[in-house]
Amino acid sequence: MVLAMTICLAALCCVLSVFLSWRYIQKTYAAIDTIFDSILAQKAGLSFETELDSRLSKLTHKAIKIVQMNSADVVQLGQEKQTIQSLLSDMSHQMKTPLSSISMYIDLLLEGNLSSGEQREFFTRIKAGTEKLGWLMDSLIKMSRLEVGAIELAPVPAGIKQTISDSISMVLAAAAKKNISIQAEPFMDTPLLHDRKWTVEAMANVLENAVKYSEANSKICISVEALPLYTKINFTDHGVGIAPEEWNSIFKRFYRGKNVKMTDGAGLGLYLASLILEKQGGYILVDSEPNKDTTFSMFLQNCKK
Amino acid sequence: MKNNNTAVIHRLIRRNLKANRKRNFFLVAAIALTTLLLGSIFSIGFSILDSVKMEQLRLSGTTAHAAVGRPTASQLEQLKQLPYVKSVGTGYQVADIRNTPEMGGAYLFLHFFDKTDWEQFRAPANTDIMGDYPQAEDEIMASRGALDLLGIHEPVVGMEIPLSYCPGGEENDLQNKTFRLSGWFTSYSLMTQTDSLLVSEAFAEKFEASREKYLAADILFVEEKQVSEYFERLKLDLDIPADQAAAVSQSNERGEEAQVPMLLALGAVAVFFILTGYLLIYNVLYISVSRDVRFYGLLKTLGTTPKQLKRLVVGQILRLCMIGIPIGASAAFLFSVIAIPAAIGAWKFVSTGAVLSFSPIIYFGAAAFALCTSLLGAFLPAKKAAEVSPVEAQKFTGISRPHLHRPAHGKPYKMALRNIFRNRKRAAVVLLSLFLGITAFTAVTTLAYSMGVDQYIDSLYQNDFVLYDQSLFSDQPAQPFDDSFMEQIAALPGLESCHTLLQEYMQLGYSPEEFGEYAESRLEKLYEGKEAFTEEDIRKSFIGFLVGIDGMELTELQSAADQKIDISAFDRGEIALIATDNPAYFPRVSQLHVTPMELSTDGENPSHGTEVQIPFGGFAPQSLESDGSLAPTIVVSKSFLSSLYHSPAIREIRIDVADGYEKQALEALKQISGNNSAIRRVSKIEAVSVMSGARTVMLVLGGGAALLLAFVGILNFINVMSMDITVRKMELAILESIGMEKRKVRRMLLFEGLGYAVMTLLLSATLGNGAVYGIFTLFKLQVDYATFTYPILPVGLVFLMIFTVCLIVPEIIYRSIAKATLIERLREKE
Amino acid sequence: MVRALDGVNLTVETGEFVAVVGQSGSGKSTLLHMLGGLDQPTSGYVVVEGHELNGMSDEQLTIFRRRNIGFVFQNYNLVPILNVYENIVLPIELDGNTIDTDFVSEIVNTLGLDGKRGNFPNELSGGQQQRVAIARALATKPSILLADEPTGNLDSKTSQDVLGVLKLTSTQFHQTIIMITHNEQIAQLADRIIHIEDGKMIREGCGRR
Repeated sequence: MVLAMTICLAALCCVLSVFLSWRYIQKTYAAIDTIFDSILAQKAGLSFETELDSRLSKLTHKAIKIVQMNSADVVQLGQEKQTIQSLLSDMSHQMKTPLSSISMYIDLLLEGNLSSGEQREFFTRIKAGTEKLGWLMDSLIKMSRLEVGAIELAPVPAGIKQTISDSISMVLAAAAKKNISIQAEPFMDTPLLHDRKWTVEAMANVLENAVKYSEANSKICISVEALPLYTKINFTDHGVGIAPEEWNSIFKRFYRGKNVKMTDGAGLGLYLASLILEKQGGYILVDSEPNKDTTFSMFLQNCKK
Repeated sequence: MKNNNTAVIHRLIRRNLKANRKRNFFLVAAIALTTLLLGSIFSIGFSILDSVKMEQLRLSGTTAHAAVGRPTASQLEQLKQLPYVKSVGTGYQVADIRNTPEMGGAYLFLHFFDKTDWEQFRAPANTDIMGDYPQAEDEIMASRGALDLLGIHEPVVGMEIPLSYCPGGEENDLQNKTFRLSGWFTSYSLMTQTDSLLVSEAFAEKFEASREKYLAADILFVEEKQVSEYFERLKLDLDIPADQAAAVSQSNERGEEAQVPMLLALGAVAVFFILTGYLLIYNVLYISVSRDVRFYGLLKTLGTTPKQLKRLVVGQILRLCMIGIPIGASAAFLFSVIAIPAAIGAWKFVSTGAVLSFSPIIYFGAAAFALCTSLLGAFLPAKKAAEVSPVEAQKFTGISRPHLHRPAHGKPYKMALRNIFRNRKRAAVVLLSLFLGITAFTAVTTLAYSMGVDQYIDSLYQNDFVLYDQSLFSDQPAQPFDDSFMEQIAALPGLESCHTLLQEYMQLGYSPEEFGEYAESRLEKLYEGKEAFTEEDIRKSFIGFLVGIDGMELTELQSAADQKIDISAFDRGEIALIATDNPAYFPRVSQLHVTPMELSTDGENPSHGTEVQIPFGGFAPQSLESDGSLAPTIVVSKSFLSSLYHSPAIREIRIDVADGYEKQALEALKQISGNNSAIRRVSKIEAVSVMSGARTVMLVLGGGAALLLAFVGILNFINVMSMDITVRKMELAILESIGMEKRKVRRMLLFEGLGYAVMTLLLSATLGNGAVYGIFTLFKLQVDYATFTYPILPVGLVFLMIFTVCLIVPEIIYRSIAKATLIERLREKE
Repeated sequence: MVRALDGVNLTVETGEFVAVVGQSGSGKSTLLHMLGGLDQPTSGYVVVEGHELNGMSDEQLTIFRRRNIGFVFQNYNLVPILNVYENIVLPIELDGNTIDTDFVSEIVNTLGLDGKRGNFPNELSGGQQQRVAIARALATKPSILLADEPTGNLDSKTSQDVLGVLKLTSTQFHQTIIMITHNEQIAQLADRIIHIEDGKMIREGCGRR
């Protein structure tokens, strides 16, 4: 009697639990189904509560993230397209000025009735224009390749001393012209993660600026300082300097400082430098007191021990 | 489906436990203490219940629920078929043992029990069973009491015991036989005067007449709780006629109600323990959570949900419980094994030896209650941790209400008072736990002190020694108190007074109007209504005792009672008294008709003297009553009694000796009475030693428990104080930096400790003592000889201790933090 | 009533690195608390990746935080009883997710914490602790990383280190970052800089791009 009842009860419990489990599995599958449907439909608005401490809520949250990542990819693609477009328009804009001046001088020369002195003058200007164009083209190509990712930088451990001296040698002539001395404080040569070719380019750009905006007979200092994770390379000049409001702008494409409008330049050097550093996991900062001193600090990653 | 994120919480629990060793110690101590105290209380309660139950069982001598006398064969057959009857045993008295003079007044029988009856009903009610139930015809088993009466003090299996007996109680059929002892046991049955010698079935079979006359069926019902219902059904089902004896066993008539106040008191104590345990656990955890607010806030910031935080706090306490509860439970077990038998024995709850209950309920119960207490204690702290606001937690510094207005000029005691009540809840918890500890201690010591041995002994024993003639009630009185004995008594060292009490048989004139009610109550008590008596029967057997006493001594005894007796008339033999505490039985008695009786040497055919009539003059104390007779005991003056009898027997001798002579007198008395089994001795000094043992046990156990409680209170105080000062480290450093001297800071902390001590003192002096008196009043209901005695010395000592702790603890903690220089302390964060 | 923030309208795009600059007491911390679901605005609303935070319960907000927000605080706020690795994976484990060991190792490597996995917070320098905090914030791949004065307690050298790491996560992991600071120089690295004063947005300047 008792035994029979126990068996009955046990059987009932089994049936009940099987039934409940079956219903639970059904419900769970239905929910997962809904979630997948919404992923396929690229819809982030799921009806499930995402802020619960439960498995389903977690699943929903992840589904929404997938959808958002997808749409973010789409947005990013669009942004890249836009970048190229603006790059193109910037390029055409930048090339317009030298091109139009060249064609103007050529027109004048074709008209004739010019003194030989004037002719000479115009030819030199045309030559300068084409040189500038060439340089511009060069920079633009580098930039666009970097920007779009056509060139991959390959940061490898390499001694920093060589890189710095390479970059100095690139501006040595210009510095000598203004009688500007470039001095490096003594430092230990350490291997840093960087792509030497491009890093030399970035450093040269910064040095070129320093030479360009410094008065004659001044000094440019280079110092190296090791941090736990990065090594900081400072380039200090005593030129016109940059007001704090402009600190961010100077790294923008084609931006020209307000107080250096007179000086020749395209506004590409610092942009390129920051781009190059970013691409190899470093960064560049500026600190300046106008008319006193200006320091550009480049941060390159130390090699992992 | 729940999220699968418990592992990390377990890790946090583990790590947090590791990081808070001091706090864990406090908590484990609190949990273990709670378990220990609860386990001990439960153990005491259960053991008392079991002991009382066992006592009832042993005293009644059987586990059977009911008995039916002289069952017919068909009734027996029917009995075994009844669904509510679990088992049936039978047995009968085979023969009366012929008394020998050494046996005093004891009656011995040869009794037979069948296998069921012995194994299931009788054996469990006896202890120390050696050997087996008799099998062979000449085998015999006896209780130690019976063997003692037979003069055998060191029994050996197989020893020969010659006995003469009368089968079926027929005097003229005397038989002799030598039995072999097959076993013995200790019995506690009330009827020690009528102990049984157990015989084998082979022997019993030969006495068919005895079987017919005395056969009884012992019955065990299936359910203990419904004995009386089953019994009624049984009477109907078996169709038991009115003249057939059938009764429910005594042990089932008395319930456990008698223990209810005791159990209630134990329950109250348990609640008390739970409360103190709760307070300590709550306080330690709450302080810990408050201190770690940043930690919980950070966890919440990082995404630990309120539920997970709760689990984190509760999980810690659960793990600590896993350590604390087993410790406490094993301590409680040890305590039970060591202390409880002593306690129950000493407190005289039972007379048949204490039974230690090892019921698993005790330990599971204690563990469960301790667990509940711990969880309850963790509830609010867990809630606090769960409700932490992440933003607030980031700003938390540990000071709840900054109060730095003009501190340098504040008086230290004023600042101390403010500091105490800065966190009111905490102050309340500390005060409450200190208060509870002290009150518990005061209560226990008050009870122990109030249970003074002297008061108790004086209430029980009027005289230093009393000697009783035990053989007085037997067929052959031994008359041990002869003239030479009395001479020896008179020579006792330091004897102050010696009074004798005389006692003889008498027949009392009966009339239903005067004695009907009383006689009925006696019949009920003596025969349990098993036998029917006619009025004529009662009149014939209305035999009782006449007790003779000096008027002066009666006055002493009487002083306790209210009634006034004309002592001079009593001395002159003009009035007689009835010894009872129940005057309501005798509302219409005016004259007493007393016929002196003297028993012949063979105990039969008493000779009656001439009836005398004496006026009834009031009531004498019950202590003078000689129990066991149908008629009430009549008290008259000694001279009057002597005039009625040839040589009246001395019932008892009451002896008082001068102070300081008690021990010598006791030794002398031991020598005088020797090992005369007829003399029973009761002495105050022997009782005192037993009683003071009881008091010591109570003091040690109760005082120990109470001290533990006081200790809990002090632990709480130390915990609060040390946390408080550590948290206020920064604040104290700031106070010092803005010009408060170290001396002043220390004074302030000292005043804080003093504040707690004084407030505790005030609370326990008012509320606490009120509660103690209430508890005493309850106690007095149980132990009526207690007189209220306030334990000034122990309470004073405890207060001194609390004052010392309250004053020293802040100083010690301050010193430990003040070691660092001020600058270091100011710089330090967290 | 004091308004900590008033009329602040701010939208942050996915992958953006935004710096909020203001003096202490300007309401920038309150802004961050609201973005992180630590505090509720009295009016107005906060939406993070489609989650409307207004009206969420304490529990919901907590779960929202652990799934969507990574926090980096001025005082590091590491769990003192857990070691570096356990601290980093704590938010993952709190949600019961399997730890993406490759990703965590990458973070640990990038942040230069490789040799410190088993150390406890009190054995680390400030800069190391802050890097652990950043690693912890990144480990769940949160929608937003909120950094409240991440270099406030650090000297200038370690500040630049930590800053570099933040920048790196922005470029390398395309992590949306909102950083609060009072230091203009530190803000340079952001794509966008927002100035706050007395609870009001006074200037929204472009960063480098």
